[in-house]
Amino acid sequence: MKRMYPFDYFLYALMVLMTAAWLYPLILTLSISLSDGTDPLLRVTFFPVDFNIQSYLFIFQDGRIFRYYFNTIGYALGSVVVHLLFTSMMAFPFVVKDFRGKTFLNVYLVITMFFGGGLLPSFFINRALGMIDNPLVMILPGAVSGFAVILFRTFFGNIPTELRESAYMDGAGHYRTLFQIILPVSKAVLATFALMNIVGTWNAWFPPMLYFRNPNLMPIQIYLRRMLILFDFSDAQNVDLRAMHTLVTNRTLRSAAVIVTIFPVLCIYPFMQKHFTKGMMLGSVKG
Amino acid sequence: MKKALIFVLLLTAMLVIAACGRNNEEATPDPTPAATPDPTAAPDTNANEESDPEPTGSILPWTGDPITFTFFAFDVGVNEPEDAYGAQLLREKLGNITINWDVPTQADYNTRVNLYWAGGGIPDVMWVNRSNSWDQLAQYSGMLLDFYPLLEYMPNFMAAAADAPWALRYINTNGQLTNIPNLENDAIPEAWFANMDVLNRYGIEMPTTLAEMEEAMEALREANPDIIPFQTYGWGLGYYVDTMSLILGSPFPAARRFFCHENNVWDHHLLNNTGSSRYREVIELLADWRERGFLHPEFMTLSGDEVQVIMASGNWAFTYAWAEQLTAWFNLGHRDEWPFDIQWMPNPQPEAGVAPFANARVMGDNVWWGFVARHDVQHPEVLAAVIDLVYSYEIATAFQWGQEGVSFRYNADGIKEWIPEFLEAGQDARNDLGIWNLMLPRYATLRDDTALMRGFHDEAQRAIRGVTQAVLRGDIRVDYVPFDPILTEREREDAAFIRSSSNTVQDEWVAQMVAGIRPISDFDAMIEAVLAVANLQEYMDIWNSGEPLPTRPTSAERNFIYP
Repeated sequence: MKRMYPFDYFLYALMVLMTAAWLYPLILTLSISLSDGTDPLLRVTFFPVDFNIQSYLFIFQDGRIFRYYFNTIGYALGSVVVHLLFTSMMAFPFVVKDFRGKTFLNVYLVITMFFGGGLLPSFFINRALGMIDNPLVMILPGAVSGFAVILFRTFFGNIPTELRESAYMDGAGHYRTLFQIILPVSKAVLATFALMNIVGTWNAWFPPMLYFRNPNLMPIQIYLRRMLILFDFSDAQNVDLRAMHTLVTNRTLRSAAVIVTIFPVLCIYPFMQKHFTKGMMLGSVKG
Repeated sequence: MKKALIFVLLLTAMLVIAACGRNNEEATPDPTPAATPDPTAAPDTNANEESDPEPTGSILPWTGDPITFTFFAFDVGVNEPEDAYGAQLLREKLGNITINWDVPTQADYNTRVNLYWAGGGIPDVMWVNRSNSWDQLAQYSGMLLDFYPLLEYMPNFMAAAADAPWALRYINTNGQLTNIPNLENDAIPEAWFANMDVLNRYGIEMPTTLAEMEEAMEALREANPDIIPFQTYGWGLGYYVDTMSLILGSPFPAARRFFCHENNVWDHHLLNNTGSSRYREVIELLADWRERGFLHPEFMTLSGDEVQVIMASGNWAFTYAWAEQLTAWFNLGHRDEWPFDIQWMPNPQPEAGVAPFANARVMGDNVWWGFVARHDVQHPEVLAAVIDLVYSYEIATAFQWGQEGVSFRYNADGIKEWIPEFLEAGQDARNDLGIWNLMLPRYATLRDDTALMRGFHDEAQRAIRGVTQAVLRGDIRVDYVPFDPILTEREREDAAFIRSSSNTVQDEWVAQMVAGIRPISDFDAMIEAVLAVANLQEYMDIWNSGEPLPTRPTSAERNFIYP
């Protein structure tokens, strides 16, 4: 058994505290969602009070939640496929010895990492491309990022060149080399970015807020946003406070909406954990 | 060498772009109107050199090819049941017209509106308010539909405007009417309340003056430190400053600038001696209450949920809020009994014989929200008729009262009243009938708030009635300031910049003085600190140089409604 030093005990204690600090809000939210929401004095500290699942029944009785799930899963999967495909296709040429224009493309990529057009130019361009009420707005605009290309490039660069050269000698072209030789040995980077993409797309609320008018296209984050912030009473200039007060969503319903929204992602994480951990070190060591 | 060359090229490009932008700004026409029509006068129907618009009757229900309009607003929680009486009525009247609603959350609403103003491509109809800059920016931009030539298709709106001339206030100097507003009533829905369970428990009588109220709060603190003597919304320090201002009989709320009726000019309460001394009194009172424990220790940062827990617990003595807020705090229906004996408390006088102020936040002439439309909307006359629907007596009644014989009836005097059994059925019954639960009239309508008020808890009704009658008697004052003057876009931006700087510094100092971090004696130093970062005199000069709009009618000239 490994010997434990005093500092190890301190580290373990620190990790336990940090884990508790991160887990407690999640547990509290879950407990509130499983409590009775009719009591305005509801005080939940850890365990649910007057356990009931009315909030979840209320949410799932609204059939639209399944539409939102369907939309979000579609956007996430589509985004992953497009992102991984185009990023790998963009990164691979950088490791091909004879590819001219590497330097220029490298500078071009780095510039995009530092400068952006901002909200208005992006909105105008996307609108001109017909992205209003178009599901592709959740997939295409963020399909290739400079950061991802650089990491993919670094990872591909670490793959032994002999692998590629032997493929070329056997008559394989670049596409075949990429899809049949390089990508199969790049599961770590693919899994890492797939997970990051899924989480990012799952959490995205701003693009659908900007570009979607049709409620049938809305992802689940828009639903959550409506549940959490239907009305901001701090703005007294807002209309008809007189009629709005009874419409405030109670805390149990809001908590249930949060749990319903994050639950699928929480389920995926354990299966992707090892890839995610390995992927965190991607690009940090060249060897 | 190459890097230096790239740097110089980039710098040159940026300078050229900046120069082009500056030239473009100077070339932008100044949208300042040359003259402003009197908003309280009857509309000049010859303003567009056309014949007087004669009501031709509605062109609805539409029987032509199907038309779809897109309306944009923010989500106010309406779920318009398809079989609701009001929804069916609306469909019958619309005919072959469909309205698609684009309703983001309130938090995202301003982002979307600003994008529309910046980029164009606005929906067919937008629901906007004056703070969205439509009145001094968008209406001169050419983006918006001029409703003036379409008034012949809006007989209901014109009939309503006959009694409410401010409905046509936003006829601009080009003779265009670009906003069809929500027509509010004059109402004073905020009031003081006392928790008599708590007061009776400790033998305290309901106070009538500020001194009596402070004695009561002091006694409560000594008797039971767990009781919060005064608690109101979790809306931050500004609302408490407003409330203290009303108690002290000072009409200078957290808005900071005020209209000096004696000199007929706008002034800032940090520049004006009277203003600053009154403002200091307000801050002193608030700091004193905080120090003496009359307020929750974290009153400046309490959230809405936290306030609800406090109010629902009953461990408080006095509150100032919208009259039906208590019902919401207790998670009850409007007609449910409150769990505690809470009674309306007349506004405490700063001293015996001195009238306090009330906030008349709801004023018919304070046109705030309304519909605007895109200038190139298809079938503008049909759209005008659709919007006109909400001002029809039939739709307005269905929206606010429901269905005759089901939810309301006419009493012997011909006045509408709720059917008691319907009222006792609760909020769900109202929602199902479409009462305050229809999309189109929810955003702009011909208001009859007696419907809403007569459905409130009896004590809430008594509070609104009491405060309003006190205002009409003159026992409580309301400060009616002129409408904000019309400024150019540049003037508004300059004023906003100064205001933002000054408010930031002022808020920080005030919060520190109220919290006891700074002494009140630092008040003069605060003024110096604010003036060091913001030229308030320039701000007031800008405000006073704007095209003025008339002072609002006085309380005696208004038609206040109360239950």
